[in-house]
Amino acid sequence: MSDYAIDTIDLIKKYGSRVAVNQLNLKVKVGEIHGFLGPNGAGKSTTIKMLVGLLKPTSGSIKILEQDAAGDKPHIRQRMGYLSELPSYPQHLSGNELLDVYGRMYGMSKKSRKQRIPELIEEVGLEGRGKDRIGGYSKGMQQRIGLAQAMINDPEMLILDEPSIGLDPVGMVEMRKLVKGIAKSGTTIFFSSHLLSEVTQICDSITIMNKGITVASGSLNEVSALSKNRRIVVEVDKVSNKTLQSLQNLKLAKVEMKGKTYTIHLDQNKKDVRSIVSQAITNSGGVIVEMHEEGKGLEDAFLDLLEMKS
Amino acid sequence: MVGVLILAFLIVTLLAVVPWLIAEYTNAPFDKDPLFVIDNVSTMAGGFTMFLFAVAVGMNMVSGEFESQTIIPLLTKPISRNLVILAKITAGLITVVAAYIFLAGYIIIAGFLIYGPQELLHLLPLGFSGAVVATFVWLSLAVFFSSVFKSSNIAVMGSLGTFIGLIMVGTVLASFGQPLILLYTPGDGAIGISGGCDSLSGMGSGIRTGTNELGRLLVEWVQEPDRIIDICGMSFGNGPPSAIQLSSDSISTVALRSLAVGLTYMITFFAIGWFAFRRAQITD
Repeated sequence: MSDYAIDTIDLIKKYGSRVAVNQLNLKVKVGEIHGFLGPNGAGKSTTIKMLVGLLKPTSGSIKILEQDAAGDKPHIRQRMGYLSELPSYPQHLSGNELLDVYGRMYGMSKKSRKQRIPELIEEVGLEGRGKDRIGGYSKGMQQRIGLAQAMINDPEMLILDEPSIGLDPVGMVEMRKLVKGIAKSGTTIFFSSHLLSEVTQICDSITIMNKGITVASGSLNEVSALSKNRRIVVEVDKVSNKTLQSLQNLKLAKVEMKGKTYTIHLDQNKKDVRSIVSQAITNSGGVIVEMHEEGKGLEDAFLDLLEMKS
Repeated sequence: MVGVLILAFLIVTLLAVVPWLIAEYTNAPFDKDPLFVIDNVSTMAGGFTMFLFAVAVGMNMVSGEFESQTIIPLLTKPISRNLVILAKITAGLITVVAAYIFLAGYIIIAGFLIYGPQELLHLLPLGFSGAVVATFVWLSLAVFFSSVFKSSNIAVMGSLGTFIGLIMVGTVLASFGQPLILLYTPGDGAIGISGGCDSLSGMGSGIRTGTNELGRLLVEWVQEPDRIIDICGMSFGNGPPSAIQLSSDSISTVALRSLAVGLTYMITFFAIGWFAFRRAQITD
């Protein structure tokens, strides 16, 4: 049995001569929340559309929940839910009616629909608005009903494409809480977002794409550590050439001195060198006033990776 | 759709009332037509009405989902694209039949009120079915444009262009004495007569042979199975133009050919529309 809920091998999508997705090998483990990041035009939406069957790959394979999922595969979609970016639903239907129609498409019985729909409406924060027409919903409410329809079948895997778009800050917090709650029940969540802070807060692992290719993939810590500008900034009571020499002898990437501050560049050195840095300063007669590490966050890694691979 | 239904009711009202009004105002004897109901139910008050119904139902059958972006949630549900298109065509059939039941009811009431007792009412289901099939020929054309171009505007313009184009081509071909090709096109078809082309004495009992007239042809076949339909053309040789016989077929042949032509176009257009929908890539 495979550990992966999503497993693509050399997935390629071309539009004429333009390659939108190039040899993508995406691995999403069962039960995790996996963030999917990349700038506009990176190929995220094209990848997601191939995963849900809206686009046919030019070549390569897609396995979802261990089954071949390339093309029109209704039996795979039976086991997953999908919320598209800026979703659009029949405006003449009410929220309840929409969920009822989609529930029927999943083959749910009348009894289970009757039970599930009010639960979902409440869960996504639309209580009291289920009977209103979707045409009268705000953007945020449409996003919420979109999330409800994606969960109507209690899916094994949920694909969310920019789920926070259109939500106010409170809605974003609620969305994150909801997604975390769903994941606790064992549902695999594949989550595309532009918001790095959001991804940092809820994802177990991430994949970063740029210009159709994967530039990084792994746990949040692994990817964050790929930042090439990791540095330790140390403020001392007084600077001396002896301290500078001691720090340079550590043979880390580069040491700079400015005022009472030493900046020790680590680049992609993943080791925790804080203790040897502090020891070198102390032994050379310096007194540390403050020491902290910079450039180790996901944002730094993200920007560095895009720059490196472009 | 409601607009088309209102227009169709208006057309039926005019067809029913105008002859009576003319007779009233000219003091001419009013010729009560006992076949008003069967004639109008079989053609749903004329080919243009059927065309309008077909376009109203088919124009956004596929393209509407793309234009409103509802195609994305629809196609990400566990139903195959084949089932989606089949469901849409079935819904189209139900819509057309429901609208025609209303319209037929109105034609029956208007017929009895204005034209008195009606004949051949037992053939109404046959004429009605013929009208539904005839409408579906146009509906398949609208679905073809809607699915291939994913635009309701193109579906309307393409269908209307084809409808008007066929009328114009038909008129030109008929004028130049070459109407036989019209036996194989959708629409009104060629004009057939009974009684031979020499004297053109049978013009009074002329009948159109196209798919639009399928209901009427089927009714005529049951009513008068031995009837012969001649298609006449014009000879422009030496001397003045003269009428010549281009074909002579039994009513059964004419009706079955009209049915076969209609079904062929319908299956072809639906098949292309289905194929285009199956292969559609949802990029936005």
